[in-house]
Formats: sequence, structure tokens, C-alpha cells
Amino acid sequence: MTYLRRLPKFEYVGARSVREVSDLLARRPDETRLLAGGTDLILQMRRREVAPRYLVGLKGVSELAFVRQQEDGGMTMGALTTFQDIETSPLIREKYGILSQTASQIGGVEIRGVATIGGNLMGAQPCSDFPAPLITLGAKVKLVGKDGERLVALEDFFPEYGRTVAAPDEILTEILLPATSKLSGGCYLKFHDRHAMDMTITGAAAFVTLNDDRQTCSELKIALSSSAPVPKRVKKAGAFLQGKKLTEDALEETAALACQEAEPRSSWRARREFRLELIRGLTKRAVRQAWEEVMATANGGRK
Amino acid sequence: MGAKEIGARVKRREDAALLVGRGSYVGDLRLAGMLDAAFVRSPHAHALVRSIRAEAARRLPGVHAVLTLADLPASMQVPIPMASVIPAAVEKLYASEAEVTQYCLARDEVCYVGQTVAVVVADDRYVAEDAAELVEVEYDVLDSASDPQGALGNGAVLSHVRLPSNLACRLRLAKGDVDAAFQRAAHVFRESLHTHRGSASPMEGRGVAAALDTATGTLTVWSSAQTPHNNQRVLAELMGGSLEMVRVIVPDVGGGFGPKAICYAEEAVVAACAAVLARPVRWLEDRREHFIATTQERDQYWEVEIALDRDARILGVRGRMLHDNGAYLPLGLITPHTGAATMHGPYEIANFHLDVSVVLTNKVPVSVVRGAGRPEGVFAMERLMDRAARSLGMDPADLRRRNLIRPEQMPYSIGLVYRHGETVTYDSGDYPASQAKALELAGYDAFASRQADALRAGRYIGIGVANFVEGTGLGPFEGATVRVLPSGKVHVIAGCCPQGQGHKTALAQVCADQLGVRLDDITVVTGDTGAIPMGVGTIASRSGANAGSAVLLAGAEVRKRILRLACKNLEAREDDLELSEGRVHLKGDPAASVSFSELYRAALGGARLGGWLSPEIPPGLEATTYFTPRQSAFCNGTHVTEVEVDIGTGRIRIERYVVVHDCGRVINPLIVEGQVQGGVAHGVGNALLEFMGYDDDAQPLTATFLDYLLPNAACVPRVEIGHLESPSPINPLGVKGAGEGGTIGAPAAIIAAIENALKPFDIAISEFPLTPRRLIELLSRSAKWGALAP
Repeated sequence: MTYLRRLPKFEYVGARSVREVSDLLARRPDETRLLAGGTDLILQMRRREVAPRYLVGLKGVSELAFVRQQEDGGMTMGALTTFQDIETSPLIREKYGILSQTASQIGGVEIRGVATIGGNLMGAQPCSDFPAPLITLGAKVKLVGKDGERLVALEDFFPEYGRTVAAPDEILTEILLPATSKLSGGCYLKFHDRHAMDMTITGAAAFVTLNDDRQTCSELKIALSSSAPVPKRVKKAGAFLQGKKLTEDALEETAALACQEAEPRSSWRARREFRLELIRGLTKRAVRQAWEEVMATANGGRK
Repeated sequence: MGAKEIGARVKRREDAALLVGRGSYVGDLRLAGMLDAAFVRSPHAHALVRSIRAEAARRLPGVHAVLTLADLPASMQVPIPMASVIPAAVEKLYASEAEVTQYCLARDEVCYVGQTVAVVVADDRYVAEDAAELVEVEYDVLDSASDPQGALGNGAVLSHVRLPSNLACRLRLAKGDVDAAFQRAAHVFRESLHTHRGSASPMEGRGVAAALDTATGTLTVWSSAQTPHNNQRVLAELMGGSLEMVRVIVPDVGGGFGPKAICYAEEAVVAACAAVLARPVRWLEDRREHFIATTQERDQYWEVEIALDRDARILGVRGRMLHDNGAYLPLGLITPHTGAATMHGPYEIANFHLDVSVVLTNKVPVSVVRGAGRPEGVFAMERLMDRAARSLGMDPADLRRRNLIRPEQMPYSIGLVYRHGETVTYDSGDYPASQAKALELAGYDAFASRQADALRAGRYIGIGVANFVEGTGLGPFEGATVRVLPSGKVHVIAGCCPQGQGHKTALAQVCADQLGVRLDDITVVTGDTGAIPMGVGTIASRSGANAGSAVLLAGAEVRKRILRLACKNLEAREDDLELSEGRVHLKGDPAASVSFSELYRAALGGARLGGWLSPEIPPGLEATTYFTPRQSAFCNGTHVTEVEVDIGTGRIRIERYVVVHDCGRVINPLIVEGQVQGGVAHGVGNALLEFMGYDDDAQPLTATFLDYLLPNAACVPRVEIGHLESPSPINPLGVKGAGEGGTIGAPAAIIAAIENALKPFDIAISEFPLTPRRLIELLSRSAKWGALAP
């Protein structure tokens, strides 16, 4: 059993710019961790899963806290954007409602006030909630390192359990989201034992774009949390509905495919069978909810 | 004298300070030169301690001492005495109490993860914990007993090397001829039940600080405790001193819920450290320690059956219960014994036989957690009632109604022996009225049609009913001093020891009615052995009944003295006088009155030297009275709850929650309602969320609030509360107790409602907590489920 103990000893350096963070990280990449909201890292340290000698505090790096609309209709947000920002930003609520909906389901107001999107992605926890909806949106992340910067599709960001493709000297600085069609919308549903403020047992994100007929599916992306060693896009499940109308049978088949592609594990918290049952149920509900909402807004002309 | 304050919805006088952070807890103490302690604890569930090497720890700058058992005073190198007496009728399978109680620091064997092995005292907690990590303990790890059912078999792993088996005690509660009753029964139904253990989880964990007055040799101990006088007694014994050399003060306490009712190893060790070092020493429990070193409760397995006649009247109940007490018996058998006797409940049961086996395992020891065995006993009885009703196709409320003890049968002896050897006699109550009122508040009669409508829409809603009777007002006594001060204001000093119950409001209400003073002019002092020498403490829903009655009696005595003096002063007869606003008034003459302050001077023989008093009247306006109840008072209640189950995920939502509660005379309805609401929250946690898991090696699995889920605001319904007031004849106030009724009925009612919601799947639920994962597991066994899951 691991317990929450007092923090191990460490040295704290508060950084003011991405450049400074980069320099500090390059100095001792293996012994240094970046501290954003700390909602994951502090717990890991208190469990002694990690005991970095140096913590670089990001609180003062104001250039990483922003939400910006792009000229192409897309959006970027800085790594220090908090869950609360995501939950309440008018821009995100309007264009990427699935992200506000996701934020509102995580933790309580205290956690949402400090936890950041960058930390949620860099933590690479399978139970993190943001990777799945962001993957369905086709998000990319920008990594800045000593040799320059690069963009990586979030779908390819998590090579294996607990890891990202970021090099030890690279910092995740921003998340880029493509523009969305007026005939699209998403839904993220998660399950946890308690009605709020609890670890995700399984989550399902669905983002659907309809054809101009406003009936059939142009594209459906589905991704799952806590259903595999990494945040998992289930491509076959998404592809199944392409060109089809929403029917109960088709939904059932989509969910069955999602279960086939998922690789949930058993733990004392939830057995594999239970997680599969949840994947099935949540996939159906998330797809249905996203689809019905798109149809409603498309036909009601609200969006 | 009319009751003006008793029964009034007075806001708690404690809260303003607590809400703005002006409470004063053990953690707020600032004593000059105070050091902090940290404990070295066993990481193993069962091991022999081969050696303890502390040199490195002692060398760390800032460390003042590292103590092991051998370094403690000789009087403390013994097991901590059991906090209650095991009745003589119980069969004990151990040779001496020392084998089933714990040493303050490990002697040669540790029997659970978290057991205290050594203590470090340092300048601050950080240094103390750094040093604790440097203490090298060499263990021989032994196999451990984790599963209580497996712990009784032949060749089972022993939880203690010195015990012949893991079976510590056997007790039997029986009356009538149960086997004959079962033979002539028209119907017999069986249940195998499991109730799981949880932590009490008060906001403030345990905490203790101790300081030695080197001039007098007196030790003062501040403790976040429920029973200061008991702790004083235990500490004095372990320190090898007499009682009066130890004073225990309990400041504000952030919740107790039972586990703080015993004196723990840490308290004794901190006291010893303060004495050895002659410096104040403090230890504050952190949450990790609360999970692994503070007592827990509710691990029981029940095999029970019920016999009914043709009219669905109970002929008998029989069975056995296996109680897992963890590694030791710190509180004797209070919990299993109470649970077993509570099973009987509000029903007429002529024949009863329950065999209880108490087993020791290598887990955190068990004492009491709000309800103290009763939620388990009620769960057993109410599950049997539901099982019978379902099998007979009867309405479960109707089956219960047929079997309730009627008010005209009161007082009613159930013929079973209670935890302290006394026979249970229900003192008063109207059980049919309780159930009827609860069903009415919950709209029970209309539910079946709502349920059918919901089902047609693919929604699964259900309703559950549970009745309980709870022994409250535990003896042997409680005392109070009521004292008029020179200003005319009043001090009340009581032996009880609140942890959030609102005693400073409720006891003031009792006193105010006696003396006619405003609540603001009454100060209530509790939890200080230096202020009242004899006391018991706040456990077992006993303070209203006992401390409340003591305040009533002491207040009445002071009132008598006030009137006697006022008669002289106002030249009036007692009948013509009335007390209000801290004065005695002559009825009908607003000008004629005398203040308590003036009477106080008169009660001292005047304000100057040379006065005289009648020898038969003691000086001053104060009295100390002890109230000694002849038996427990028995409160009762009915819970009715409505739930909705999401059969796709197993999520359970409590839609409505009704409690009708009869705690005798209600001193303060707001406080009682708060107790019921909070108690239900606790019960919701027990029923649905709180899972204190251990693996096969008895290692705790859920020792953080990330893994151990407490109910939060989103899970807890607003409880609709109905009061019934059947005054208790046991005490002069007529009160019973209100601290636990909200919890006791909750798991039974909630589980019944879930089972009722899932009627179409024909599954039986025999356990709590019922988590979503477990519910889906149960549903997946039903052939009808797969096709229906949305």
C-alpha cells in the first residue's frame, strides 16, 4: 500500500518565462519536474512515486496562460489554462463545448481552480479526463525544447503507460484545436463511484460531424479514458457509423466495437468486466447525446 | 416553572466561533518549549520485532529523544487496559486480558499495519518524521490473518503468536425455545449477510499534548477525546501515579464519532515523553495515521433465519454472527454485543437465539463508530423482514406493522441481556406511530404506481423501509455543577465532552429554564477533569439523558436556594415569586425584584466581613449533582428512502429520505435535526461508498481519501424529518438520545430501496457498502439484465 505522506524534500525555483523554464529543465532534466497546478505531481510525491530534487514552479510564467481564437477558426490555449478557465471561457463553451463539459466533471472547484490542461496531458495518466475529448477534437500540442519547437498530434502523444513522446528537455506550451463544423458537436461522459470529486473509472468522448443532410454521419471520433494503458482512440468504433443514421442497433454495434478495441485492466477499484460494461454504456450514451445535440442545434439553428 | 428554552429551536452558540476559525483545538495549543512527536509504526500486518536501532535517529540535530517500550516508565511497559468490562457470561478463549490488548509501544510482536513501535520527539514534526525514518527496525515477518471467515478454520494462520486460536470470545443472546418455534413455523427464510468496516473520519484526527508541572508533579494532558475521565484514569495508571496527578482537558474537538472514546497508545506515550523530557510534547494524527491506527468498525458476517406463522407473525429468529475485531479488543465486546442485542428491534419476537463469535485478525482494532454495532444488527433484522415480505408477496411495510410492539405494551422487556449484563427493557415509544408517520411523509402508498410508471419509461426507482430501536443514555452516571457567579451570570460545568454535539447550547437551555436566565448569561464548561472530578464522557448517545438530567437537578437545587434567599429579601412566599432575566420578581409587582447578583452576596453572608449565615444553608448559589440512570433509555425511529438506479452504470441516486425519530423529549429540534441529517450522511457512506479494504496479507488498500470515499454534498439527500416525542421515564428530563439514529437505520433502508428498484431482475442484496461495481456484478448474474441496460 502506498500512503499519502508528507512531501519529500526538494528545491523550488519559480520561473518567469518559457525560456527560463527551458534552461532550468535542460540543466538537470532527470532530477527536475515542472510544477503547474500540482494536483497530480504533489500526490505522486507524497506517495513517493517520484521524488524530484528540483521543482520548477510555472505559476509565474504568464505567457502560458491564454485562450486565443485563430484566424482559421481554430483555437489555441496555453498549457497553464486551468480547468476552471476551460469550464467558464465563453469561447470554449461556444466552440468546444465538450471541453467545458469535461472540465465541469472533474474534481471540485478547488481542484479546477489550480489544475491545468498542460499538467493533465503531461501527467500521462490513463485516468486523466482531457486527453480523450481533445483527441476526438483532433488536438495537437506544441513542444518547446532546446532544439526548437514541434507539433505533435495528441493521438500520438502517449506511446505507452505513463509516458509521453516529449523529450526530457521539452515543455508542453500550448494546445491547438482545429476549427469545427457547424454540424458537429461532442460529448464526454465519465463514471466514478461517488457523484462528484472522485477518480475516473472509465470515460468516453464522442465527437460527431454530420453530413449536410443533417441526418447521416460524416465523421465520428471516439476516445476513451481509463480503458487502456494510454488514452485510447477507438477508430473502428468511430468508423462504423460513418455514412449511417443514428439507430439503436448501430449504436449497439459501435459500442461493441469500442469494447473490442479497449484494453481495460482489473484493479481493486474496478474489474475489467465492469469497465467494459461502462465502456459499452458510456460510448452509447456519449455518441447519442453528441449526435442528438448536433441535430437539435442544426435543425433549431441555435449554433 | 415552564419550559421556555427546552424544545426551542435555538441556534447553536458554538458555531459562530467555529465557523470563522476561532475554535481552539489541540493543534492550536501554543505551550512554551513544546516539542513534536512522531511515531515509528509497523509496516507489516504481523511480525516479530527483532531489534530497534535508533542511534542514527538520535544523532539527527533537533531530536530530543527516541523511545522504545524499554525506555518508558516501568508502569507503562504493560498493555493498555481494556476500556470496558466483558460480562461474566461471555466465554473467553484467551488466558488473560494482556493477550488481547496492546502495548503502548511494541514489545516483541506487532499485529497490524500502523501499530506503534517507537516514538521520536524533536523540535518540530518535520525533524521528528525525518528521524522516524532513520529508526531501523528489524522484523521477522509472519503470515497474517486477514479474512475473518478464514481465520477460524483448522490450520488457520494465527493473528497472534501467543493465542491458541483467532477466536477470542463467544457470546450468546437467547430467549424462549427457538428450535421449537422454527419447527412449527409456516415459513422460514434465511439470509447470509456481510457488513464491511469503515473509518470514522472526523475532520480533526486524534491529537494530544502533555505538559508536566515540575513543581507539583502534576501532568496536564490536552486531548482530542470523548472520555476525558476515562483517559485520566488510564493515564494515571500507566504513569504509575494517582488519579489527581493527571488532569485531562478536552478543548474543541472536530468530530469524534466513537473511536476517540478510548485511550490510545499515543496518548500514554506522549504523556510519558512530557514527563521524561520535562518539556511539553505534542502529537497530532495525520490522515494516514487515522486510517491505520484509529479504530474502525462494522466487519461482520451474519447467518440468520426467521420463522413466521401463517399470519406472517414472527415466531422466532436464530442464527450466528461472526465479528472481526481486528488485532485487539481495546473496548471489549461493546460493538458485537450491542449489535446483537439491537437486532431484535421494535418487533415482538418470542424466541431468539444468536451466537456471536468474536475473531481477531491482523487489522486495525475495532471499537465503535457511530451506531456501535447497531447498523449491522438492524441491517440483519430488516433484511430478514424484506426477504420474508418478498417471498410471501407481502408489502414489506405491512409485514413490519403486523409485528411491531404496541405502545400499550410499554415498558417492554425483550428478555435479552445487554452489553453490561443488564436485561433490555424498552422504556417508552410508539413504534406503529413511527412507521405510519414515516410512510405518510414519504408518500409510501402512492409509490407503487409511480414505480410502475417509471419502469414503463425504463427507469428503476425503489423504496425501502427500516425500523430501529436504539439503547441510549448509557450509565453509570454523569454530573454537573450549576454556579451563580458574583455578576449574576451562571456557569454550568458538566462531565460530558462534546465533539460537535452542541452541548454548550443544549445544556444552557436546560439550565435557563430552571433559573430564568438568558442563554447568553450561561457559560457551559465541559471536558475538563479539573473542573468536575467525576465523569464518564460523551459516547453512546448519552449526554442529553445524563448530563442534561444532571444539569436539570443541579439547576433545580440552585433555584431552591435562590428562592429561599429571595423569600427573605422580598418578604414573600415562594409561590409568589418567579425567576426571569437573572432576577427574582414578585408576581404582579414590577417594582419588587432582586437580582441574582444581590442574592449571591446575601448567600455569602453579605459583602463584607462579619456577616452570618444559617448553618443549615450552605454558602453560595451553587450545586453539584450526579444523575444515575437505572437503565438505558430506548429511542426508536423509521427510515424510508427512495432511490433511482442506473442499471447501465450501477450509479445509485437517493431521491428522497425520510426519518421519523423519537428521541424522547427534544431539548433543541435544530440540534436533533442536525444529528439526524449528519447521521444519515454517515449511513449513506456506509451503505454506498465507504470501503476500508485490506488485501490477503492484511495490508490496507484504501488509506487515503482518494481511495476511501466519503459521501459528499452530491451524494447526501436533504433529510425530511418528523419528530415523535415519547418522554423517557428513566430520567427527569424525559430525553433519550439522538446522536446515532440517523446512521443506524440508513444502510438497511438504502439497500432495501435498491433491491426494490431492481425487482425486475430478481436479485438479492446482502451486503454493504454496495458500490456501482458490485451492483453491476450482481446485475450481470440476472438473465434479464443484459438486454435492458441502456
